Amino acid sequence: MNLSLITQNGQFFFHAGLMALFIFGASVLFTTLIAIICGTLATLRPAAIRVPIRLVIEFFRDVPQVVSVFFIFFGAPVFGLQLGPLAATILALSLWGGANGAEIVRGGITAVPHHQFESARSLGLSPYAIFTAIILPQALLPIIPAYAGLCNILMHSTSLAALVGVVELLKSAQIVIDRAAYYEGGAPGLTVYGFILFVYYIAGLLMSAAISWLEKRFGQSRAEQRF
Amino acid sequence: MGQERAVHVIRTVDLVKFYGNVQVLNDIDFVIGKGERVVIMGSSGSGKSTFIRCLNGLEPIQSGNIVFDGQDIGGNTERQWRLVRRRIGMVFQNYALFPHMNALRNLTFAPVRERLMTPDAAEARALALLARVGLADKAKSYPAQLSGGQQQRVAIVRAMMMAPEVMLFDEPTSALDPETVGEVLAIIQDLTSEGLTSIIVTHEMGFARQCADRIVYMDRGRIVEEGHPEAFFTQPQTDRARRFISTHR
Repeated sequence: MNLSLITQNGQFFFHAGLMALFIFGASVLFTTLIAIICGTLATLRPAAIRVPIRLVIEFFRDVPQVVSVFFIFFGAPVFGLQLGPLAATILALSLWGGANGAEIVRGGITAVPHHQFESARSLGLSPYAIFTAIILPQALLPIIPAYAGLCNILMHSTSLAALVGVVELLKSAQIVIDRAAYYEGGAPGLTVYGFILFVYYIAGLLMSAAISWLEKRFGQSRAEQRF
Repeated sequence: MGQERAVHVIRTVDLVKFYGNVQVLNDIDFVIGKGERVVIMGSSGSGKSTFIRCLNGLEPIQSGNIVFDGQDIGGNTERQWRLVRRRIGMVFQNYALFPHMNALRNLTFAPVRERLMTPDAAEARALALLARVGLADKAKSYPAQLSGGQQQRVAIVRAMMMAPEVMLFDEPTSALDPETVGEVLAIIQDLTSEGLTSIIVTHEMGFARQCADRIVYMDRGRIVEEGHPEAFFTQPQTDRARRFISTHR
């Protein structure tokens, strides 16, 4: 074990970590937007809206993320879209996450009892107020655990960016290993990948802690409300 | 028409409603005068709940007219119905309070959100209404912390926040424990005693007999019989009504 390999490249790894964090944050943000919008549209009654949305959701759920990343990175120029590796990765992860998130959100909305819509309507509330203030809060609280699981997968999936050349954690590890092996010889793989594994592990721990804090918070208020 | 407008709050003419191919309301002609308390009875599947749900637009109708305050509202758009619903309160069988809001906010949310009341005015009215139904100390309680009877009392005053001209009660005590039915019925009787026009769908014979100005009996999507409660309960005119009364005693 040659830990100096890690410390010497500390700044490099730090920037790579920030890149991974950026991919994660952007993917979660777009995932959430897509999930709420498409998940809601998928619950609407008109088949002209519901059916196409569900077909698209199904498509992006069924395609492996790797394939999606490659397809968008290499395929986008065919459609006249010049996407850098970073943008292509974020788009691919967001489409995959959005499709899976939409299913979770749809489940949450359909689980809200029908009488909640009716009593809200009978009070003369606008459809927008009914959705944002009555239905959505009741739909989102129960889906937090499932949604947290989705975010966890998205965090792991940031490493797919390495495949199209984004220097995030995995790619930075490969670069450091190649360089060390070339100049110094030996097998630095175990040390460097061990370090990367450790970083993902810590990030996962932090996320679990954040989620259980969220759940406890809502758990407490739910215990008060007992609903 | 002017005179009729003063007499009739709601009138339906040849109201027809289908669920798919099944006709659930068949040429309903119905009138309710200002301040009148009408109880609608009938076995399940008779269309009584569907009928009152048509009156505030929760169920679309296929043909016929609904005249409210002199205007035909049967062909209203959803946007127009929203304005009508502020004037027609509705209470549901399963209370349908918003579980993520406390009792006070359940009452104030809609009028404040729709800018019909200032937050202060809404809160003052809500607290007064809660006090009137004996729940002054429950303003900050969430629905799940209240008993069924208490929840239904909150739901009743929630529907009355905007001072509706008509109240619709859709089997308001059917989901309650037998012990709490009485308290909710007493509240309904109290709140509607000052000339609030109300249509109440219920199976509670004692309440109907004591409180109704008129009984409307429905069967298979039609109004089969209507009349004063005494007459209806002692001398029903039709076999179906007679059988219904004897089985629900």
